[in-house]
Amino acid sequence: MRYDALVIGGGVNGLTAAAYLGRAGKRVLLAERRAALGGLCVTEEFHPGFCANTCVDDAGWLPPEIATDLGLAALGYAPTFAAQSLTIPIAGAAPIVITPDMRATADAIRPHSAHDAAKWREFCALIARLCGFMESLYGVRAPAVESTAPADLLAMLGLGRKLRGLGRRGMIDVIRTMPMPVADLLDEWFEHEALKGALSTAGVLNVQHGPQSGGTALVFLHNHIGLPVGHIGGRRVSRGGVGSVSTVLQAAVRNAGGEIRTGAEVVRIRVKDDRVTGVALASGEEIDVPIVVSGLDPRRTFTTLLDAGDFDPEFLHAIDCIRLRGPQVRVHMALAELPRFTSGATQWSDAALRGAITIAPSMSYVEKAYDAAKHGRIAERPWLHASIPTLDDPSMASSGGHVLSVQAQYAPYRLRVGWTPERRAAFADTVIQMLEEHAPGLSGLVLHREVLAPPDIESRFGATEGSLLHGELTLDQFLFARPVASNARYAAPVDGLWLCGSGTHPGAGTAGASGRLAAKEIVARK
Amino acid sequence: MTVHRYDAIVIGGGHNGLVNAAYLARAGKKVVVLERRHLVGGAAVTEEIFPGFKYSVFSYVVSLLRPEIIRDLDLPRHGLEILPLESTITPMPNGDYLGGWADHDITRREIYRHSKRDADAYDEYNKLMHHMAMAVKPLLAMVPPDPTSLAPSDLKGMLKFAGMFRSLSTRHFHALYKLMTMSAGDFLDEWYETDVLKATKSASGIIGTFMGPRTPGSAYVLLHHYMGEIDGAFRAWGFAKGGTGAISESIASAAREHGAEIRLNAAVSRIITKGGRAIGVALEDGDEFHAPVVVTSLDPKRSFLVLTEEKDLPADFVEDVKRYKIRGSSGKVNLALSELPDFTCLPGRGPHHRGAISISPTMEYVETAYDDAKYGNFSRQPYMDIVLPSMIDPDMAPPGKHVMSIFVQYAPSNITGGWDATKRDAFGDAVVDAVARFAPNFKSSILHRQVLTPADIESITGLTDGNIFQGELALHQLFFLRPAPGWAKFRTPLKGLYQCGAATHPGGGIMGAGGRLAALEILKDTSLPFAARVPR
Repeated sequence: MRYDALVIGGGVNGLTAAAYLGRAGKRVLLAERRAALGGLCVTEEFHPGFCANTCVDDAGWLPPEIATDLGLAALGYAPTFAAQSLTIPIAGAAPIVITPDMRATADAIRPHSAHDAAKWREFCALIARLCGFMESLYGVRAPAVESTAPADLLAMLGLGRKLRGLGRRGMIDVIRTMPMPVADLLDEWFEHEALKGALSTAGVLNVQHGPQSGGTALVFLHNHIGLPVGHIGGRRVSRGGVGSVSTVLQAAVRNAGGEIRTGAEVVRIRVKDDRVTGVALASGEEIDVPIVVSGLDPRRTFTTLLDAGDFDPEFLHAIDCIRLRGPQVRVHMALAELPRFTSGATQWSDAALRGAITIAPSMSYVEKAYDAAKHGRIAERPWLHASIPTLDDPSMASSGGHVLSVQAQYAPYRLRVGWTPERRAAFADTVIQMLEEHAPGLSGLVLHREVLAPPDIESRFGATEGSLLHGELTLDQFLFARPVASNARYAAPVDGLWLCGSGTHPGAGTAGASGRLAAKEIVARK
Repeated sequence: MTVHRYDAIVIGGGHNGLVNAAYLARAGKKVVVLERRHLVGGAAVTEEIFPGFKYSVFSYVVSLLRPEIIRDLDLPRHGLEILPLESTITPMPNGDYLGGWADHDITRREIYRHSKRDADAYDEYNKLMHHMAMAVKPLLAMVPPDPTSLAPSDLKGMLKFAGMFRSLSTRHFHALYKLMTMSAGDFLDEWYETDVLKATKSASGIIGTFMGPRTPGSAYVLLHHYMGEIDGAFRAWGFAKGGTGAISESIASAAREHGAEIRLNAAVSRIITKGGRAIGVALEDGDEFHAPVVVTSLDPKRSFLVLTEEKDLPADFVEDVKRYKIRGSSGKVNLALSELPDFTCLPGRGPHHRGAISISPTMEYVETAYDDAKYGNFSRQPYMDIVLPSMIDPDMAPPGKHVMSIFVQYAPSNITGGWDATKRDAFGDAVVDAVARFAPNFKSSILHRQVLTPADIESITGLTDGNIFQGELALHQLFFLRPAPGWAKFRTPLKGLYQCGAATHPGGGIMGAGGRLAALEILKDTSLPFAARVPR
């Protein structure tokens, strides 16, 4: 056999897993269906001369161990990233811009609510404390709570000690906050509706839940892992787009001796006597290999690449029950020139324009948008994040002009009436019209627009139900229950088959953390 | 001003207060229960609202009452008699219905009529839920250990707690984890395909909470309602003969027999403190009662923000109490009927009249009812749990006539603009209309109608926001976090002041567990030599 291991899917986690396996001396092949690597973390030209981060804007927190282990710095990876702020439009006033500078943020909030401004620093400290604990959860494989194996007990003990290290109040905060609705969390701290509305979007990003759903505080924390203290609602921005992370990892795979093939779609994982024997490609080529590592989402891996007969029905049922439910639509616009965002007569500051412009005027606004999705409808008034990446990175529009990229929720994968081109267009119209309220004349600047609804993300990127997270990151699909309880340790119930995608612990929003932990398990197994 | 001296004072004569007093009295303490109203029971009372028609005005069914309490206090001898509720039917908009009967096989056949797959799943599901409830039940009789504490009793408690989970199979552990974290709707989706079945089952996950069946956290409430038993029959719900007030009366009778004194029309206006200790209470009429032990069965907002002065309590505790979510979500409509409702799906008089009628035709229906409440309105088409107590206990209504109890969700306590008489009537009309859809003779059979909004429930019983559980059974308000982190062991930051209501572990329903556990903790503290008698 030419290879020791084959990784399916060249997303961030697949690349990371391949690089780690290569460094461990495995002859590894990575097979990517598409022409481009990066999976959901890709920057693509959507109109001649205009590029956008097609699916996600932020590759997520890259655990520092990965950068060290894979020598990413030498490959051009800069661990200090540019930070995109959160811009909150306020009716009749300049927007509030939330930056890591807590004093400046508090000053920006103060004219609207002295109460909230006074609470800001303390709130940021709380989030930083809780995220610090979550980082330690994310650095190790999921603790097996029910296991009595010494290694697991030790790991649990280690986490227990970390938890204790937070002190009594800190422990209470962790235990109490995770299952909370983000609406309750924000209500405990703040009073200003627009502030709470905008912040609450970080608790429902990419999940089909509203701010009043239990567990959305966990999503909120998850989305702040690795961000600087005070950078509430912020995102990492990579020069050259989100795809640049994949480019660095790709080089790491090659450095580690790994081979990468694009345009190589795995259509079947061959199994014989409960053991993986190889894969079949769409081209008809068969590759014999004893270890197959899937970076695809668990549903796709088990229901399309494998034969149901190879698995216990109870396991397959659990896979079927994973909640994926992509709720988000992306709208990318190529603009002839920079739109003028204004509040009344005053033009927005440059800093405000560079932020993620968040239209979510209150938590009940966000909740109402969610109600629509819950009932299988598109939100009439979605909440949205809009950013203009070309302000920081002119290379995104190489021949001039600007790009405006929007994420909007909610538009459910399972739309009762079904997705049609007209419904996509109507949704984009709504988004543009909502932005036009802040940027008069915007629609006249749009040269071209691309709309990606959840089914498009599924068909183009293979993410089932258009879930950018490969499964909602909620408490019941978290830690030892990700992707399914009793199979949270990357090994599939067939020898030689492993999962490494963001459907496994710790999951989406962390760049490569799942890939790293999966590779470590694989290497440890031999 | 008169000063009365006791060993212990219990504020509030609801079932938890009464249970607490009974246990304390049984241990030889001189106890007085101070009840604001003219009758005991709190939210478990029977009242003759209209001449000849008796109602379990608020709480109307029972299942969760702890068997050890029934045993310890010998409640049957004091008049407690539980009559089983035999069925649940859910009328459907297409004229069909879904029935659940006392007989497992009949229910299975009934589900089979709707879905073969679900009939198969039904057996497995019941087995699982039985296991789950059995696994969690010991918690009901346990003082929740504090995982943040290193005190030996807490470490021991945590070990016991961990041991309980370890004794579960991996499969059951994961199922329990799902129940703790998921929405009832999502959990049921994993089992069933019949919408009306899921809607009816998921309703147990929303009762008393401000959640919809799709809100994560509601699966735990579903489990909470599975933990009952009547005469050892698991997951059975029933009526008390004479209404739920008869339960309270039986506990009161047991308490009196053990020497407790119960004073009615005795409204406590404040808790008296001295040197950082609670030493008694003052009544609205100025009389004072002094005792080294004061137990409040009221909800924490009332106990700590109204009856206690903020300066007597630590600031972080006050903050935690303010953060504690109560949010009333349910209303109650009590009717006097000239005849039985004639349901289109099951015409004529039948066994279904002896059970519950659930107005939960689809998941969408129940979820939409919740949507209304989220934005400050009552549900235009509410979820309802209907029973006809006079069919089981004929003494509740004059011969030939009936009483109907309708538990309704949602009726938010924070309705936009506040509750008033007009809104109350409109709410009552919405309820009547929603029932009439399924029983055409219903409207004309109504002789009297009592509509209770959360505001009414609050003003009559004193429950803040009219919340029937004294605070939501949400994961972040359970176990060692109920009602406030670190104060889940029935004690309070004020020495000598204890709590025993539904806001304490393990929560609401006519369970009595809080009252009993609090009494046992108090006895632990007071049986120690005085020097060591410092709570916590």
